[in-house]
Amino acid sequence: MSWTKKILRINLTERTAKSEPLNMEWAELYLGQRGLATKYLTEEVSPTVEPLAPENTLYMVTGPLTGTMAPTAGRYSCVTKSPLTNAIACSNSGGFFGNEMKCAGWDMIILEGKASSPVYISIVDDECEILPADDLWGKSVWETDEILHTKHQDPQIRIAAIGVPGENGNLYSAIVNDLHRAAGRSGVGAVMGSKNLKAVVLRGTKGVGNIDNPQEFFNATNKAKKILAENPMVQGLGAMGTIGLMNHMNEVGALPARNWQDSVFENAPKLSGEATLVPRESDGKANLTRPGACFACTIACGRISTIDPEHFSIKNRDDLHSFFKSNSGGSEYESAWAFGVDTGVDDLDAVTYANFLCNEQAFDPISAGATIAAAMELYELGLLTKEDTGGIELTFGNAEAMVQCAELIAKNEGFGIELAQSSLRFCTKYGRPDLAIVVKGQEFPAYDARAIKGMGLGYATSNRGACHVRGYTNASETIGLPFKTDPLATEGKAGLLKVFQDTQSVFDSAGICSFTSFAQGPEEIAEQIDAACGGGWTPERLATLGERVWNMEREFNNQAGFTAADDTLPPRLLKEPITAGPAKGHVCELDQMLPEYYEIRGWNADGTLTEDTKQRLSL
Amino acid sequence: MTTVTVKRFTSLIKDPTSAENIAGQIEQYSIQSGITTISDIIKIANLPEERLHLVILNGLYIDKEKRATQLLTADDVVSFWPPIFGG
Repeated sequence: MSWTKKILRINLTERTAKSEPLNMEWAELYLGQRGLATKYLTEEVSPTVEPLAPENTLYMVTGPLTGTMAPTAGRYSCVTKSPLTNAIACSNSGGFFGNEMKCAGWDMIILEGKASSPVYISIVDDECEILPADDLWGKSVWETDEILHTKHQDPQIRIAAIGVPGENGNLYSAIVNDLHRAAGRSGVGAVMGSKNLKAVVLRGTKGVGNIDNPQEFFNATNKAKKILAENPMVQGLGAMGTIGLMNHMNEVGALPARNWQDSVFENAPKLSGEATLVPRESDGKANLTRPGACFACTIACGRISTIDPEHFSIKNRDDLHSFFKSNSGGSEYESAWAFGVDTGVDDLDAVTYANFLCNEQAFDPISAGATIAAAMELYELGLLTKEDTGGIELTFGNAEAMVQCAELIAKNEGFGIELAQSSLRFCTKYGRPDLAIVVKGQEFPAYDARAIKGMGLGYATSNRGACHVRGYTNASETIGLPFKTDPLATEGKAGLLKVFQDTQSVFDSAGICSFTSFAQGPEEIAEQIDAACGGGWTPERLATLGERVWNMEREFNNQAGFTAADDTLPPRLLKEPITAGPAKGHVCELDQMLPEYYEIRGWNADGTLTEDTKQRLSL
Repeated sequence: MTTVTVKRFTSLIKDPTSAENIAGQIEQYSIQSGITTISDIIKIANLPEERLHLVILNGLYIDKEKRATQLLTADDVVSFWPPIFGG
């Protein structure tokens, strides 16, 4: 049935590890990954739990397709309560950790309690050990990865780890696996660190099977691979990655710059996908070396890149890990935007260096860059001084300053400790919480909600705080997939967003990458899931499942204390019109979209679920 | 002389390794204002019609169905992308 039907429950306080059967009733209703782990979370963890207390639980979870031959079947998620937002956290990662978990025979690993001293976990098929990590604590993810490979004398182990930020409660610290893939958002790394857990090492030799109808599955996945191979979008993503979007977003005037004071950035081309292909004068190499792919992926949107050896960030630096002067995970659209456009910095190498730091020490580039950008605005307003910044001239466009801040965040030192508290707490401390461009405490990604109004509604209503992937209506609004809508209109956006949100919930629960969604429709996904899992998985059943997952998350957040008042946008997006470009004069008219969204969702005017909705969705 | 600016991006760029093209490959073409359409300029600029997914005129999206009738005027900027996606 594709699931292994086994989960590993680890109690770090007691230092025990027990196998238990997967709750198949829940698997039938929630499928796997995001849906399944969120169900476990809502049943096992109080919505009012302190996120960094031992009573919070961290779920590392695969989907039923993870580890199979379905294209892009390498995804896994980290689900918990977020210390950044105090809402649900569900952070999705690629790489190879997920399929290794399945290969070892586990659908999910549950991490409860808190170890009395730093530990790491080693899982080799059925054997689980909780081992001392005193020699790893204080080390980066990259160092930890090397040490553990040497210690275990096995080049095929897969490792998910936190860095120094996660050990120290950085509210946007991440969990990095396979050196440069990440469960990036919402501070899941801090939850892991709060448990004194440094790393999880996986090795699976059982293979992945349990397919309900192997012949049908073979046919369905071959069909899916063909669809992807013939899709020009896939080719484009492989060639240039998501950073290929930079010039487009700038051209349509929806690229937020300098802490969202502007919506076009005059130097966006220097941070574009096009720029990553141009050979440097110094060494004749381009920023991009080659694409990178996750397990079973034929898209290869990942970037493997280098930094210019003459660049200030790495030249004459003997203190850096060797990866900095070699190939590593390069800039994507979001990280190039956050460390670049949002801070006004137009230096591709500086931005790539900051991205390498995020992989080395496991923290979210979106929140980090956005927090630095907010700090820059405070500095330029005179509310933050050089004394506060430890001598850093924190002005927009100052690449050296941006790099210094990223380094201090990575090392959790000096001014970096303040920045680690995220933009909302930081801006609140300096008297201007309105300058934190966040929803529910999580920093916005790189789409201006004043110019793409459906995205604004999506940011306001995302269950994990401001997020673009939870409901990527930009696909329709500026890219025209699956059909074109007007980004500057509010009409129809509530219905559009609901479809995107519910569909995304399905992808996030199945174990495959949402980048297949522009090529594969509900029918193709349902075929693969039904062949793998058995039991009648139709597009309609999956659509209902997606809606159920969304509402379950909403209910958890409501019980955690969130209300309709939290479904909002920062004042800048509601009241300050865009000043230049094709979207000049626009704000985000959230009030024109939100009531209809609540109605379509089957919620009361106060944002709570109606009894009808709960019953209809078996909640 | 009435000209428009044509920009081509990502894989439409003939020489992607040139630093001159990081803001797109930018060319000027003469048109007849009020007569030349986007479909016309696609042919004039020798763009591969079947690969053009996004057409942006002065920052605004132009539907595929309207390319044959959307007229160009002096100083217009028309930008072309093949299929792209983000995250």
